[in-house]
Amino acid sequence: MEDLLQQVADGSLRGWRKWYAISHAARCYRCGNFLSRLKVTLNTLKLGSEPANADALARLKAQVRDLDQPK
Amino acid sequence: MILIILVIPADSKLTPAQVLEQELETILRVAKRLTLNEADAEDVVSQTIIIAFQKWESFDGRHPRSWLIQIMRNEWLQNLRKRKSRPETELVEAAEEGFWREVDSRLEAQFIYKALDDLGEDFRIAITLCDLEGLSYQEAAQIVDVPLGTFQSRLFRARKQLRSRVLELSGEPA
Repeated sequence: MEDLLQQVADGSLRGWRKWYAISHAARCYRCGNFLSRLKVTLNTLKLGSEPANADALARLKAQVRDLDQPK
Repeated sequence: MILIILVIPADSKLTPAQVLEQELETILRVAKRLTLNEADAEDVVSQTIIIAFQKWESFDGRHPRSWLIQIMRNEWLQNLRKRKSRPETELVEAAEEGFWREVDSRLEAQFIYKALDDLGEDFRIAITLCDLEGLSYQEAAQIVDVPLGTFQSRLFRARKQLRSRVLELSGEPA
């Protein structure tokens, strides 16, 4: 069941299996808790992804430009 | 019925510089999650850039992000083999533990990222690719070079472990 709930949480589950997993989670406290907690976690991961280090990014972009110059 | 065939000229493929310009920030973020270290992340991305230029002719032009992350991961694995050991994860100081206990729910994100950094490398990269960077199961499986089913199972176990670790850090019951 937890595998199905994970697919519900990440949006990859469709059709009757999704319906089955959601209706089970609505009745089962443990699975309902698991699903809501996982959704929060995945949303937080998506929204809060920290930006790349700006200085490092600038240096790497400079490296790309340098390699792109015709020799 | 009219059949329209679109022929894409061979020279329409983007240049390595264009692709890298688009993907560099993502590759650097994934590298940081993989290496857990800013300097190592920059080094491995720098190596990736060089290899991307060298291997550009053999690249088919599809899924450039996956291709670059795959190069980066392979380079990182080679670096680790050279070092013969994994870099040590920074030890959390007692003072920081105290801090973590005091924070409220607004700092949920910090718990989650801290928990993510605590996971093993395979689990961390699975979550990073699918849940942070939004790659499909298929693309991520290709990057880490395992069958799709194996990858899904690994991702699911990684999320379970992440959840348990978050609960542990936040002091909530499982």
